[in-house]
Amino acid sequence: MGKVTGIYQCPSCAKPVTFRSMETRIFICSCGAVINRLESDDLVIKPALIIQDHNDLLRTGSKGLVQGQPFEVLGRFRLWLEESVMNYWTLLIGGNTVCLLMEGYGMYALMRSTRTEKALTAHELDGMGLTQSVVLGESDYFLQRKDACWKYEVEGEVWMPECRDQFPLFDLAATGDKHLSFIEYLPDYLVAYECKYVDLKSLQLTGLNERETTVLELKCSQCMSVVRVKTFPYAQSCSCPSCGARYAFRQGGNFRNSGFDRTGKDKENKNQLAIPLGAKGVLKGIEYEVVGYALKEENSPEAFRWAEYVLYNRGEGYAFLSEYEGNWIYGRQKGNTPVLARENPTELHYRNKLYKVFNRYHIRVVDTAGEFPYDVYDDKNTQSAEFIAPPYMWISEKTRDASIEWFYGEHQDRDELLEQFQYDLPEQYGRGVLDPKGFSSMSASGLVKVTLLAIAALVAVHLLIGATKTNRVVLNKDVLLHDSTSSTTLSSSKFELTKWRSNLQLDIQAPVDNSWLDLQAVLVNAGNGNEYAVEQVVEYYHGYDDGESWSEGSNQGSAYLSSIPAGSYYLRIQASRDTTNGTWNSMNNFTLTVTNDVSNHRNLWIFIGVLLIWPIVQFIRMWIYERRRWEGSPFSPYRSNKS
Amino acid sequence: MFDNFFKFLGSWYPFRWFIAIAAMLLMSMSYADYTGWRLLSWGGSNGPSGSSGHYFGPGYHK
Repeated sequence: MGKVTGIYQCPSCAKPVTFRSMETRIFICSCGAVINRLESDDLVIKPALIIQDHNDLLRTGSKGLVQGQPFEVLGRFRLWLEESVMNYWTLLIGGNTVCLLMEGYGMYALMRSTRTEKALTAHELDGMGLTQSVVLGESDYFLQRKDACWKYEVEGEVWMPECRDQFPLFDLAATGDKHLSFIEYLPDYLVAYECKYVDLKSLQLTGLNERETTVLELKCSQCMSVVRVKTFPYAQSCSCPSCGARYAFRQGGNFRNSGFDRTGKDKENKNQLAIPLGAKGVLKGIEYEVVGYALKEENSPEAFRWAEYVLYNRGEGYAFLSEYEGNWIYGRQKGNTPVLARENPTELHYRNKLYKVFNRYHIRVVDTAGEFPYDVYDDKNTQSAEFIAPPYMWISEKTRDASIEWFYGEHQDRDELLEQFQYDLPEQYGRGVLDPKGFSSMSASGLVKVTLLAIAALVAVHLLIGATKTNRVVLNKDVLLHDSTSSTTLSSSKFELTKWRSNLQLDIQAPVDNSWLDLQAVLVNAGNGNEYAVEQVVEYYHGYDDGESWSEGSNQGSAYLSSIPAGSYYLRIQASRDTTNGTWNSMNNFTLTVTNDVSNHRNLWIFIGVLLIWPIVQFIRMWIYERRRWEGSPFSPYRSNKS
Repeated sequence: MFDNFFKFLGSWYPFRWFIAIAAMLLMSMSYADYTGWRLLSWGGSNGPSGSSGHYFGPGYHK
C-alpha cells in the first residue's frame, strides 16, 4: 500500500505519515521517531539523531530551480566529518525524482547516484594518494579527499540508504570540473554520486529560513570568559577573546563545551584587528560579517606575517580576507577546482588560464580571535601552495595525504574595502602579489597583438594611399658638362603640378669614379616666384688599403621636395663636379629625372618607429613591476642564477 | 550578447591610450602620404655624408 500511496502508519505513535517520494527511506514523525522504510516496505524505528539546530539558510520546504525544473527540499542528512560538517539535502525534483544537494561552507553540489564503469572498493580508494588516479570513463580521476563521518543526523524526509553509525567518504575529481563522490554507507556497499557544483544564485531559492541564528556559548576553562560561536557547527575552532585560549572541536570533545577542547594558547594575544569582529560589509555583492581573525606567519627563516579575516554569510558560507603590507586578497573555497596530476607542480592550467607557482609553505598561527570553519590550530600538517595569475590566484591546502582543499583568491581593492569597512585599514606600502598592475593589467601577448594590429593598419593605409600616387615624370634630362668647366647651370622648361599638394623626387645618375657631383636645384613657382631649394651630392669612391679593397657611395642619388602646392613651376639647376681628381674629365654628363607625386616609404618607417615607443615603454614598466611582484617568491622567473 | 560585447570592449580597455596614439599616428601618416610630406627632411637639402675616413667630397680641397 505504502509504495503506491506513500501513506504509512508510524510504528511509534500510529499516526499516519506520508512519504512524498518512493525513493526516500527516512522520515521524522511528528512524535519525534525516526522512521526507516525498508526495502520490504515495512517501517521500523531507526536509532538516528535528529538535527536540533536550525541555523541554515535552507530548510525543509524551501523551493528552487535546478536545470529549469522546480524542486522542493524534503529533508536532509548531516554528516559530521573529521574537520567539517556537511549537509546533504534531499530534493524532490519535478514532483517525482530525487537527488541530493550537498551544501556546506558556501559550496553547493547536485549529487545523483551513478554507476562507475569500473567497480571500485573503499579499500582501493583508501589506498590512493592525492596524485594517484583511477581511469573512469574517459577521464583520469584523482583523489581529492578521504574523510570519515563519525556522526550523522537527519531531518524531514531523507533519501539516504541504510548505513552504519560511522563510514568513510572519498571525493575524486577530473579535469573539466568532473567530480565523483563515494560514500561507503555499509561495509562493501559503496555508493557513487556524480557531483555538479552550482552557484547559490542559480538555484533561485525561495521559502528560506529567516529566523535569527542561535549562538553557541562556551565557557573558557582558563579565564571563565564566555566565548560566543556564531557559526557552529560549521565553525570548528575558536579562541577566547580575553585570554587567547584556543579551542578546537573534537569528536568526543568536552561535552560541557559542546565538543570544543582546549588546544593551547595564542603565542601572542595582541588581537590587533584592523576590522573588528562583528563588522558587516558587502563584498562581491555578498553581505558578510567578520567572525574570525588569525595572524599567521610562514614557517620559514623569513617568517612573513599576514592577517586573515574570516567572513561569513548564511547562504554563501565563509570567505577570507588576507592582508599583507596593506594589500588585500579576497578568497573563497571552491568545489570546481584545478586537479593536480603530480606533486609540487610549478604551474597549473585551469579554464584556459595559466597560474604560476608563487610560494609553497607551511604556516604557524600566531594570534587568533573569533571562530574558524576548520581547525586553524592544526597548522603542522598542512602545506599550502599559491599559484598566481594576477589579479587571481589558486591556493591549495594539502593536509597529510588525505585531502586537498582549493581556495580561489582575487585582488581586493583597498578603497572598495574601506567603503564597506570604515576602519583604520593599514596603508598599502608593498607590492601586492595580485595587484592588477604589471602584466596582469595588459598581457604581454595582448600588447604584441595590438601592436601588430596597429602596424598592419599603418602599412595598409600607407599602401592604399601609395596606390593612388600618379608617379608622373615631369623632367628627364641628360646634362652635359663641358670639359673646361667645373660647374654648369641650366633651367628646365615649365611643368604643371596639378595636385593640391604633392612632392617631387629628383633622381640623379652620374658616372662618378673616385669623384663627386654636387647638384643644387631650385624649384621656382612661375606664378608667384616662391622657391624651394634642394641639394644632393652623388659620390663614389673605391680603392685598396691595407690589403683590403673598399668602396663607398654610389653613382646615383635622390633628393625630395616635400608638399609643394599646385602651380606652374620650372627648375633652376647648378651642377658642380670634382676638379681635384685627375680623372675628372671622364665625368662629363649626368641624368636628372624629376617625378611628381611619388610614394615615400620612409614616412612609414618613421611612424612605425614612433608607434613602437608606447608598447616598448609599457613592456619595460610592466617587466619591472612584475620583477618586484615576484621579489618575495622563491619561484621568481626574474631571479638570476647567481642570486 | 551584450555581455559578450562589453567583455570584448573590456579586453581592449588596457590599450585605450595606445589605440588613441595609433589612431593619431594613422591620421598623421595619411596626411603626410597624401600631401607628399616627407618627414624629417629639413630645408630639402641632402648634404654629403662626412663620417668616413675615405671621404673626398665637396669641402675636401688640398
